[in-house]
Amino acid sequence: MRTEWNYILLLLLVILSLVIRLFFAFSTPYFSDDSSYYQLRHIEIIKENILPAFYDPLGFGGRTFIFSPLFHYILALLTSFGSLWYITKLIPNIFASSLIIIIFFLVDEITKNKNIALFTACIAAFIPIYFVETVNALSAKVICLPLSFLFLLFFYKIQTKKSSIVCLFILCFLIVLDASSIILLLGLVLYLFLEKIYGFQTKKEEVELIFFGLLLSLWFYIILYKGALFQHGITILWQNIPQQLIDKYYYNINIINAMYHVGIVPLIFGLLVICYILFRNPEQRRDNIEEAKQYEDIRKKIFPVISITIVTGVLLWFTMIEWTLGLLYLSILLVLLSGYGYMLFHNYIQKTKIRGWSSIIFVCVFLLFIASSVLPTFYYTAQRIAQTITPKEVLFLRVLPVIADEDEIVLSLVDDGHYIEYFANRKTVVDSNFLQIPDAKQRIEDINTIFTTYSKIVATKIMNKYNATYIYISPTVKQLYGLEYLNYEDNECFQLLYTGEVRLYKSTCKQQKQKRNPK
Amino acid sequence: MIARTQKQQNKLIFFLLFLFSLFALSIIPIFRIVHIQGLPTGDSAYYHMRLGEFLISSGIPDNDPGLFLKKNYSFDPFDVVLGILGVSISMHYAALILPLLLGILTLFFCYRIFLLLLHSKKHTFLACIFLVTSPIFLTTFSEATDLCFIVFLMTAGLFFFMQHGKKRYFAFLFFGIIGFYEITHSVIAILFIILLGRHLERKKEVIEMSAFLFVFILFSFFLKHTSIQIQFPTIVLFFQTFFSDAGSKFGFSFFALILAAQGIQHICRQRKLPWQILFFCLFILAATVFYSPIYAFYLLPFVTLAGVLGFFSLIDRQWKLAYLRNVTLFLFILGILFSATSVVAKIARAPPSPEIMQALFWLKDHSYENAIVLTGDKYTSWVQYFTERRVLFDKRIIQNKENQALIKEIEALYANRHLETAIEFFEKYQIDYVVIFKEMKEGEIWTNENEGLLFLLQKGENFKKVFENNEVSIWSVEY
Repeated sequence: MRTEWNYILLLLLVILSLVIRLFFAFSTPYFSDDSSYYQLRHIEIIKENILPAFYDPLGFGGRTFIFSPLFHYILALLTSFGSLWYITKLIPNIFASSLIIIIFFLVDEITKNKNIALFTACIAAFIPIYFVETVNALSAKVICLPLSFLFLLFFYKIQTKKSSIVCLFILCFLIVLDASSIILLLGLVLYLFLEKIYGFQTKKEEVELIFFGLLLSLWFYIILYKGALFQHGITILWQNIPQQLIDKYYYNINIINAMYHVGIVPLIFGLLVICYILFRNPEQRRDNIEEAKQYEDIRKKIFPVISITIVTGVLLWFTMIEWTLGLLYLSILLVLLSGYGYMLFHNYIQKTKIRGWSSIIFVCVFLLFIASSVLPTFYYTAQRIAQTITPKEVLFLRVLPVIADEDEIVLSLVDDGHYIEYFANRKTVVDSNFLQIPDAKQRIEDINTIFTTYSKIVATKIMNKYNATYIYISPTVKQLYGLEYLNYEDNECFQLLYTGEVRLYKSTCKQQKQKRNPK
Repeated sequence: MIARTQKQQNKLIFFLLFLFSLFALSIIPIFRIVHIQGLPTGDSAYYHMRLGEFLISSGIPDNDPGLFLKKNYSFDPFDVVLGILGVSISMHYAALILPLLLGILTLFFCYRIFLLLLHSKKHTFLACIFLVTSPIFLTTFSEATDLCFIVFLMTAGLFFFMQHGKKRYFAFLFFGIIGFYEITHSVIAILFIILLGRHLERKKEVIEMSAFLFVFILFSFFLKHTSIQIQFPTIVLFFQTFFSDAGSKFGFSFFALILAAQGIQHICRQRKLPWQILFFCLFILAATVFYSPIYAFYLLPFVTLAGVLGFFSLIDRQWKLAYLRNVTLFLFILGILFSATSVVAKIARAPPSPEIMQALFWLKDHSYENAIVLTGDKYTSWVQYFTERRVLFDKRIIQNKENQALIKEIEALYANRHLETAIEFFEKYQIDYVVIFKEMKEGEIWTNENEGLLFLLQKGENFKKVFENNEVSIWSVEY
């Protein structure tokens, strides 16, 4: 195929992917997860005040939460050119789709074959987990992931001054943007070790850049998370998420899960390449010098990708990173490797007696890709969109400020915390940012008790403990606890204020607060 | 003329170093005097202050006078030094100033030792700056504990050991005093002497000094019945113990360790790393991990020296990305300074606070002289010092394996919600007051008010809350 055609097809693929993404994204007026609303709130604060709000007056009844505001600044800047709703749906999808182009150039750089690169770009357009997690959500990952791979593209050409400067710039940007860049850095450290183990000459520029990146990230994160580090120590890796919820964010991933989320084609070809590159003995190719040299070149280029894959896999295995984040990295890395994997497979077929069937085999692989990646992508995305907060819930939350005073606290499920903070602008007992909350475990236990206890006294005590006035029962609570009304509802201490798709109770029995100092 | 300029330069370096160390070490005492009523930081300081006062006024006691349960008092020369200084300027000021003085003297001795090892004023100056800014150094010389005294004795001993002539005999005095402390310090002193003696090629002196210290070790084993209790921490705890940036009190800065790793790599490349140093570091590492985190201090000279070599190796290296060189070095300096400042900020605000003092003074004024107090083992030193009353037990009693039965009894009491059982315990040990600190209620012992003894205190008829502020609540016991 002529080169221009490859580029035209690539462009068409990006447009197709973007159109499908936007179709899903605009099929609902809301985002599909609660944390998007946390980001949205901070974007709006930056747009209004220019400075980020490190003191959050709503979450956990008011707390200090330190984060890197770069992502919020980018979105605040971009949304200043148009409607917030429209741009926050559009921009993340454009960023997410840019990964297809980056993967194309990366695979082309590794294999020097544009057709293979285009095929891999096709796979990258429909990675189930990547599509689902980025189609209707607002998260720094949508910028961080494509940028990480763009970094890799320039990393291959680090010996030129221009590329080294671009690399440095992207690296600094990634470090400030999101802590997940540490995966990339750790992967590159492993890459240096692999080079040593396999006896390759290490490029000085690579060592210097990685060393600098590690130092910068260490310095930046220590400054940013100083308080949290002193408070939680190494357990900061688990973000102080209470044990009761830890399985939701960190769970042991297995091969079946990986198949669902990554797709069969990239998984098989990706693993094939890892084995081929790590364990194949180059001595076997001594007779063909040119082929051996080519193999060594490709091996050097694939080492960084394999290193990051191994690091991500190990971190996932030991549940040291959130499973979605780990799988996002892992899936893209496997897709990247699968490009070369398919080339190996194709070359192998050419050496066998079935080489005449290579077009049919390609069609079979493509059909397998559609069945295991494209269809699950659509299925999971539709499922995710269906889980989005409903208009009735939003309507109620927008009315909540009329019912509740500004200082009154609403007790809700963790998953509803950011919704209440964004739509109702009211304080909550919990949301999903647990860092530096000393009694996070206790709060989750107490919320569980509120929804399960039969004792009005116990419930009142808990409400008073957190100074909470309202109990919010969302459809998620109803589903999770099999609950329509509170077990201790009596109109005396807990008045039902609103009933419909959601329910709202007001706690009216206040215990006399103990004086802290009798003097 | 040139020699004169060199001499002036040396003086200037020395003066700058003195000023810098004075500045770094005086931040905490000044902050405590200005903002926290001159209260020394930490808990062990109050143990030494109490015993220092007692030694000066009443001589050496047989048992610890602040404890209800009997525990032999083992003589600590640091208590005497603190007591003497406390008589001349108040005990609070003594506990703030003595660590500072010992820190500056230690730095002087280290400067002379490093100069001998590094042969370069520039390198030595940087090594001393790294030393003063290391979190472990700042922590050690901010609290009036015996550790700052032992470290001073160790460096002074090594300094005089390096000297020729009669001055050398002062080393016996300093190392002799180390013999009063745990034998691990004496073992480490022997290892230091061997390393330094090897460098100075002084076999005879090494044998003399080692034999002298060995006698002290034997003395400790047979007369003081010393036993070593090994513990096996988890990886998480090990990580926390070793890195000050992860919250450790006696840890290293991540950046200092990276520089040290760079220095070690540089030495290894030149094949100049002696196996004796490796063995020594492994020994101290084992002592730190399996015995007590305070021994990490003895790794500090090695981390500092390796760090200096690492820093200069980065400067001398031919950088391909030349624009990264200065930024990288700048990041190292920032990182090291950042670790130092966060440790200083943490220690400066560390308890006891004026509120704690207020509560404990209240107890002193409202209790009879022989009253016995029950409180968490972390807080006994404050209670003993401020209230001048005896406590049931302290952490030294808990650390002794012979008291396992008592530890179990106390653990059972903390978890117990039966009034009769609790009263039985209080009667048995004649406890009059229970002092509960805020941290005890926030996860240290209990996580909520309905747990164990905390529940009983609030509900039981025999207990009466007599005082409460934001930090402390005091309950009287009747039986």
